[in-house]
Amino acid sequence: MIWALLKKEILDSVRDKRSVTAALLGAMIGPFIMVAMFSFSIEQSRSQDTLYVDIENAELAPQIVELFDREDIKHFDMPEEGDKIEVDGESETHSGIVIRFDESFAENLAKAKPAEVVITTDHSEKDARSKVSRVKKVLNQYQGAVVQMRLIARGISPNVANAIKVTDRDTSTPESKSGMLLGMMAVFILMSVFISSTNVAIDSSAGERERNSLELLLMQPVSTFDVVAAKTINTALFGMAGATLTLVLTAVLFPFVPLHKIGMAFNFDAVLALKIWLILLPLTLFAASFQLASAFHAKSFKEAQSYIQYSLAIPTVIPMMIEMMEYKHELLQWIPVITQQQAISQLVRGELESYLPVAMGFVVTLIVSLGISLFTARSLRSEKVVLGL
Amino acid sequence: MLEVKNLEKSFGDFKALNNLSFSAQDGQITGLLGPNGAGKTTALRVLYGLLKADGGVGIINGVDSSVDPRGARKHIGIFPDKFGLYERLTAREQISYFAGLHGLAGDALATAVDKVIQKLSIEDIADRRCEGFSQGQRMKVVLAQSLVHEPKNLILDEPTRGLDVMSTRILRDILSDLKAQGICILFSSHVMQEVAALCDKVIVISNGEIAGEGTPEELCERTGETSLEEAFVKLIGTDEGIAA
Repeated sequence: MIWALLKKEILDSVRDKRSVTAALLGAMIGPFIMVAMFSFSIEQSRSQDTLYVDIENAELAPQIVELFDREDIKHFDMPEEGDKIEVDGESETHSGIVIRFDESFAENLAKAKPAEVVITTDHSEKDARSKVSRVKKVLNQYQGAVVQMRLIARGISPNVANAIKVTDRDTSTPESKSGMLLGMMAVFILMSVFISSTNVAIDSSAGERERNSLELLLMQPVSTFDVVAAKTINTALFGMAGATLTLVLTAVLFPFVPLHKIGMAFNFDAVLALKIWLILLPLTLFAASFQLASAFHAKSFKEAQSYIQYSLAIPTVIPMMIEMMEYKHELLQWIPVITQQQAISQLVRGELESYLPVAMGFVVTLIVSLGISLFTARSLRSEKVVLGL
Repeated sequence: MLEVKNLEKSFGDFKALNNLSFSAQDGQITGLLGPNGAGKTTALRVLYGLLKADGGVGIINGVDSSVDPRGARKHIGIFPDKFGLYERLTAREQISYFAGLHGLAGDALATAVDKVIQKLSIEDIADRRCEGFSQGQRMKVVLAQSLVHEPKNLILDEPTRGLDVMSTRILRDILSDLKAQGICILFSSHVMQEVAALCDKVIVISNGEIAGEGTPEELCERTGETSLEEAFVKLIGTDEGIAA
């Protein structure tokens, strides 16, 4: 019986151009946005903007100017008005910092007397502190080198000047560095499931009622649960197709993201894609049953569309809430959507320690989906839902 | 054999069915005549078990449809007032779907579908998608889907609404045919000519109650009118909502 129902649902939906296009688009947009965003934010985090400063008496300290140059700190005369300057035809922003080498700078340096440098800046300006510290870092570097030379020249080991030695060790693994980015990836993948099943869910419920075929169907000797189950499976198949397409596209496009530039060794390979796919299986049923439940309770196709928009917020809002929440209980990881989001983001970060919450989440998601379907089946016995009153 | 007994149904304050009882016998065409809003469709929905009555029962071949709706529905073919075809399916797929819903499968299903397609002579449109079908073609597909499992009872809700003359004539011929095969046909309509021409027994419904029952001749006799039209108007008390 359920096969007869399912066969028709699949045939009907596959021939529905709108459902198919929506599913395809929903699945394809995610990976493209994701790859574009990754590439963009990598470029951003990597490149250092050139700092334009006004250097007075630059000829007195050619070595320092050269060091500045190496660190992308360039001399440019302060503009007369505002902070916009034109460099090689492109508009840039002048930092407003003035570095002035004292007239006696070279002389004092040669005599091993403190040589004066004056840095003038407006500290109320945005980022002034970090810009100045960039400048100071270069000056300190130079000073360190000069002091070392002087000590050596006097027959003293430079180590005398170093009472302690500070070593900065970064314990972050390349994978965890990009945790934020990969966390977003989980959200995108979850979204694809929901987006791909949306239109089928509406078409086969509110749409079918609007076309007067739902009532006739329910007059046939079929159980409402079989009807709902067939529609849920069909909708879930669309979600699954969407998820598959998203994963395949991600696997194909991901190598184009210049991850190595931020020292990240991450590989979206077939094994990872398959694991994520398995995690998503129960979620497709959950998304389908949830969307069908909301669409069946809407009076029309239009109303169903506006209800279902809220369901698209689920995969984005819930993980965000979990991230922000102080309270974290282990059982939270068993809840539908949360369990998949956690599992996927841990998996891509290489931090998945235990398969227990994943397995429990799998089972709980299936049970919740079944519960929602039973509820929908029950409400299809009410005249209010059947006739759309 | 279809039967409803003492049906009561209210929608809010509106009383749609008020102690309504009637029956339709095998081998007869029973007409359910009443103005729009008289409660015809509501009574039929209760009979299918789609609506729950506040009181009374609907019985199909001895099965109470509120107790065992699926069991009861196995014995009926339904020709709905709104066709509700699946536009993206072909006529054959549409008919096969309903055959499947009635438990047919495999070769039995294919045979039954072929048989009903042949019976209604719709071979030419069988493998075309339903979108773009004319009303007449739609009517035939809907009829085919309601007959594919060879039910003992056929219920038609306003079957001729929106049909052209040719389609109506075809439908009438088919119904006469089915009647000859001993099938119980219940036919709801607000068009008097149609009911008069086809039905062996007429049940006149008004405001959710039985206003009269009998053969067209009996109804004339009882009301003392010579024409059916006058008889109906007299029974219902008004000519509002009735089409000649």
